[in-house]
Amino acid sequence: MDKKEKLEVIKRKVRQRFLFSAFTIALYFSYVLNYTSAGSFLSKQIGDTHITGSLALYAALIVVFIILELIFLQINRDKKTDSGRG
Amino acid sequence: MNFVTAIPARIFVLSVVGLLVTQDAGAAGAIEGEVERQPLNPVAITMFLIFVAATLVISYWASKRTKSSKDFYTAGGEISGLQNGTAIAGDFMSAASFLGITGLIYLGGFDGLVLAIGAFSAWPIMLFLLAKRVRNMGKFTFVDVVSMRLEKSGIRLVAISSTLIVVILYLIAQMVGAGKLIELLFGLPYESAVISVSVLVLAYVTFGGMLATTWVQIIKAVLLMIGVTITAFLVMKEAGFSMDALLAGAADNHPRGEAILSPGVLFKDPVQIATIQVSMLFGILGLPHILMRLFTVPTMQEAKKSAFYASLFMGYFYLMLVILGFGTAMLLYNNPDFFTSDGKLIGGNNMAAIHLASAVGGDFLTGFMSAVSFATILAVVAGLTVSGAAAISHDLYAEMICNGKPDPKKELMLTRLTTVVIGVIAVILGILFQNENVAFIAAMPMVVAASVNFPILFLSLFWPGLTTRGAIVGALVGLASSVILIVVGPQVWVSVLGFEKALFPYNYPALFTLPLALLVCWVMSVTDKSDRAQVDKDNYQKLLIRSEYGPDSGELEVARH
Repeated sequence: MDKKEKLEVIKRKVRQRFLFSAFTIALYFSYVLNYTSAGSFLSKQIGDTHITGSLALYAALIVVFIILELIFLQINRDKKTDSGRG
Repeated sequence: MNFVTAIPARIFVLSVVGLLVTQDAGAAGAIEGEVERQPLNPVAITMFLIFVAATLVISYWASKRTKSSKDFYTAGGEISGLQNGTAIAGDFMSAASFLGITGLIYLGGFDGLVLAIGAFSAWPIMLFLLAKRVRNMGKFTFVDVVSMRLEKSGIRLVAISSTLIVVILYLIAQMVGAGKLIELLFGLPYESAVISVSVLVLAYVTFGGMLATTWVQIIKAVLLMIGVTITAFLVMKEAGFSMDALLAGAADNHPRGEAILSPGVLFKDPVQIATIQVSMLFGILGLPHILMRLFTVPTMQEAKKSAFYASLFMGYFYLMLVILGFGTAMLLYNNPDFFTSDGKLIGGNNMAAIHLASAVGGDFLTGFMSAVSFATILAVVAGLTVSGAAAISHDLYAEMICNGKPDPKKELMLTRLTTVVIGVIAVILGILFQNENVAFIAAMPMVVAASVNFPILFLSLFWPGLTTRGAIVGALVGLASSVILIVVGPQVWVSVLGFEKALFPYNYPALFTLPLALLVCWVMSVTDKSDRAQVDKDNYQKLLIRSEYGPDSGELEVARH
């Protein structure tokens, strides 16, 4: 791979990094909704259980973040760019 | 008789929020107020001694393999992704997380989880944004990364200062917390507890360097997760393995009833939540002892795996804390064994997790969890000590004073000497701050890391326009604004200095100081027309391929002067 191709790959990867990060940060700050009137629906219990939307959001965020990481690792399994030793 | 309820001596323990990563007005749930020092706990001490013996054997083994500075700082770069991820989890899942967050849930239910989501969410960003580039651009520390493309003496000095501020403040918070916690859990006098922590950490770090530190952190992480899993299992057994029954039981027994299942018991202001979230997320991304761990693995792929495994373990841990937290509400509030005569939880709210272990697992589980809590402190302090030693011996001595060409033997000797000095300083500061309100000291490292380290690290990795002048002025503004806003905030202005009302309403000002630092970096960089500014910008392009493809990618040598 020549330098120009490498720079193209880098550009694409940076876009991808920023996309994943922005999505994660947006989800993360959705937690603030819990404390606003717009997010008052989160305080309600789900069905007949004592599990509230807020608690479900907390657990869902952790699970979704781990899934996002798995997806990120999966689509970046490029041996050519990941084999360097330091 | 439950050992926790035995009362041999009364002591007055001031706030030990230093142990926590927390927090705000009254919600801290620290080891605070009038509490009782516990009697010597033979189960906890026996288990802890087994842990110490095992880790000392590992340190001896590690010392045989620690022959160079690279061995000392990064364990020779030969730790696997899984091991490193476990060690990162061990470094980060501190007593603050385990005891502090459980205590906060005990106190205020759902609101206690804001710190948990803050602590966890940094890890995906670490993987997406930083892990690979930091690994590729640095050698031993994050200071290497930020100085790679900029004029190294100025930016190194700023980054070293910031590293030392973060490490020392973090260390004070840990040592004071350790002293108080061990006093409570083991019945050891405060000074003995602080000295024990320091002596053990020195034994690990001075001889075994990062290799021993890594294994101490791995063992501790595994023990902590075993302990948390067993406790959570026993709590769920009490609740008939029904999450609904657990939450119903918690709401039935908690004085605030079903309100604890929703937000609003401890916090109401969304801006306050945002300040905590920004400080936690970006603070973690700028913690030097955490970033340093990315250099202990042999390849970029392993660095990314490290961040993923760390997330996985921490995600599991923070989900288990929901069970533990609401378990404390379900099982402790209606049990008088865990309360003092005036109705306070024995040892303060931070003891809720230990009392829960006692309630569901008796003396054995209590002893185990107490020993794990002690081990937790050792693991965190060891990581901080390595990071502080590297800042002095590598960043300052080897790279600045010796211009990157130190005598290897002298550097290693200086590293070990610095480790001992940091250990002694930790003891002195731990004893000096024994009776001080250290809440603000616990908040400061996160805010400083978020407002100084993160902006210069992020911009140096991703913004071609950053110049040395922009980075230095931005970092200094980030540092000054963080310190000033913390001082005029509630924790110092009201709690320490005694004024009636704080001049700034939030304890964690990173929501304001981080954007300010980024803005100043940008303004000072775009207006910088110096020759050096052009060199800095050219260096970014020259290092771009290395940042993605690694140091072996044959990138052009960057200009230094």
